[in-house]
Amino acid sequence: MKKLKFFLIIILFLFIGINVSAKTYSFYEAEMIDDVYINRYESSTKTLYYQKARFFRETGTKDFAYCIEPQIKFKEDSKYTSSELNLSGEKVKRLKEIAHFGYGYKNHTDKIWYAVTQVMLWKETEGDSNVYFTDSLNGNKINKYDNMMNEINKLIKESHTLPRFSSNEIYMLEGEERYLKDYNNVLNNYNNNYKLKIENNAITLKDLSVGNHTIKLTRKDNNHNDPVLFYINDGSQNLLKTGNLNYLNTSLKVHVVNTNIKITKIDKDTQSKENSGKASFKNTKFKLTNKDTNLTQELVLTDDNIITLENPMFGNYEIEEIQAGTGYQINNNKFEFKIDENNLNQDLTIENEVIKKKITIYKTYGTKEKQIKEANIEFNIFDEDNKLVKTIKTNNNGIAEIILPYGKYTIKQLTTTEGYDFVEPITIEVKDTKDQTISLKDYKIEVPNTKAYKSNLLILILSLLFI
Amino acid sequence: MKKLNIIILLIILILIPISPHINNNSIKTKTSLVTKIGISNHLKLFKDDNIGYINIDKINLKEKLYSIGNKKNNVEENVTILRDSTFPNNINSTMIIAAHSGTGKIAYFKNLDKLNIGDEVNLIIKDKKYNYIIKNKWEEKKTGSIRFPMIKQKQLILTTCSPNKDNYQLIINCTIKE
Repeated sequence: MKKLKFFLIIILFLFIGINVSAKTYSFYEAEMIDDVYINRYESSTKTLYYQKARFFRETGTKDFAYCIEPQIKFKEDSKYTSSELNLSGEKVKRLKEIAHFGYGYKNHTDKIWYAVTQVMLWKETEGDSNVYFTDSLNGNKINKYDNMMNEINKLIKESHTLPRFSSNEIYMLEGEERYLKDYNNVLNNYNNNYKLKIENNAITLKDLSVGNHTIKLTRKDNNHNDPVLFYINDGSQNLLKTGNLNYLNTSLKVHVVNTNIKITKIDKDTQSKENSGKASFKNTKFKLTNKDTNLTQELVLTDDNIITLENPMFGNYEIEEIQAGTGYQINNNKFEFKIDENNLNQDLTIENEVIKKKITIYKTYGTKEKQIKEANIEFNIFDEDNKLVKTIKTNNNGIAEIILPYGKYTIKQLTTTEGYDFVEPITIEVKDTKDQTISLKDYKIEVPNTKAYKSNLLILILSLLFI
Repeated sequence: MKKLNIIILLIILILIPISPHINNNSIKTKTSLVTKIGISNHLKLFKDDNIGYINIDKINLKEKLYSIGNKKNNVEENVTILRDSTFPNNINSTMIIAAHSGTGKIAYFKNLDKLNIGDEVNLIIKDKKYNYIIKNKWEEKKTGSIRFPMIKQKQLILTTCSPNKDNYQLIINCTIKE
């Protein structure tokens, strides 16, 4: 039973195959085209053929068709099969293109376009014949339809031209709108799979999400249902029916990305965002220059120590600090970098050195004429929050030193000789880098004995006795 | 009677070394001694060769000041400007004035310890008045010298022996009233 089924299926397939390959077509000479005449001179036989232009149509469908072998007579009722021509690939391509852009293409609706297309096809296959238009039946050669032939040739040439952009691989930023011009001016003939606007031979890339996109550009005038088909009969003139071409299509690769410039400020002394003294990175200002466009932008650090610029354009950049934060010395270096497909993010760490100075306390005592250096006198240095910064002590030269960063400080004497008055607290403000010396001098002067006794009266009496 | 005189004389000889004002060079003759002692207060009311006054209302003190080279400028007679002083007509001047404490008529600074920080002290030097404010007050052991900070301001130092603490020196530091 199984064997029987298998046998029947094979027969069925063979039957279908025979039926398909056996499909035939027939054509007929249809309506004449008024006032259009064609001559063909065959040089090998020195014979001139002349005729009034007329349509060929397929029996049944009435689709128009073109003869492509002028030297062979068309025989009605001949059975044609659809097959490839025994011609070179280039020639076949040329015939298809003439048929495609000829009669029926866009506004080529006048019947004369059919005659023009027919003549052009014959010219391609005429061999030793010469085909041309005449002003009457067997009349004089005319060039009346050359412009129409030129137009078809122009359309064919354009079809060989693909859109050409500055690049077929585009990087753009999220939210960016990019206008891409086709330098070959053929883009208007194309559709795209993203329904992006094409106008004036330019495509506008917009509203694309972050990621990689392939924008396929396909010819939009392939509106026939079938390709160009050839119909072959060994005893009659071969024909072709117009149809779609296998256009060259192209595509654009679009990468939608995010870019970023991040500037991190650090304190040179702490090598971190921790500020020295009362300095602050706030209000640090930068000038960012796109060196390709010369456009500049000011960036201001409003908080903490990081400033970020989202989605800067691709390009070569230079950044320079134009204002340091409070209490910092400006960083005069210029930083250059590039934002491109290989460097989407740029992280810069720019350090600032705090404004600081050396405070030297020089402690002496003595008279105006002679001051003696005083060692081992301690001083406490307090910041403006009354927090002890450091305790310093004078050396044998009476000198105590400390480097203090930007801020206000109070210096208080910690030790002194017994009973002696402390130096009044000294307030200093570090707001520049000029070193400062504080001379703390004490007077040490001799005083007379100033203790008096109640003996005046007694002395007075005794003095009187001496008189 | 002679014996009495001898005894009295001996007592005088004993008293002389321990009575500071008797040691003073200004007592050269008996007449001058009597004059000084007897009418010193009275003289204050008259024009003298003094260069000015020290005036401290709080302790009811108003005494003449003499120039440093004047022989009357000594603690056995008057309130005394010490020779390391610079006069207040100079920038950052330091006037250092001493006088006796204790008891007796020359104990001009006997009430100096009653002054406090913030009290006012006036100097009138060559008809120009300088108002000082007491900034600090302290006592240090007597060594024959005193020590105080040198400041960049007009400064006035008053000093005398501590009336309350033996062998200590009282020092009052004033700065010019702005």
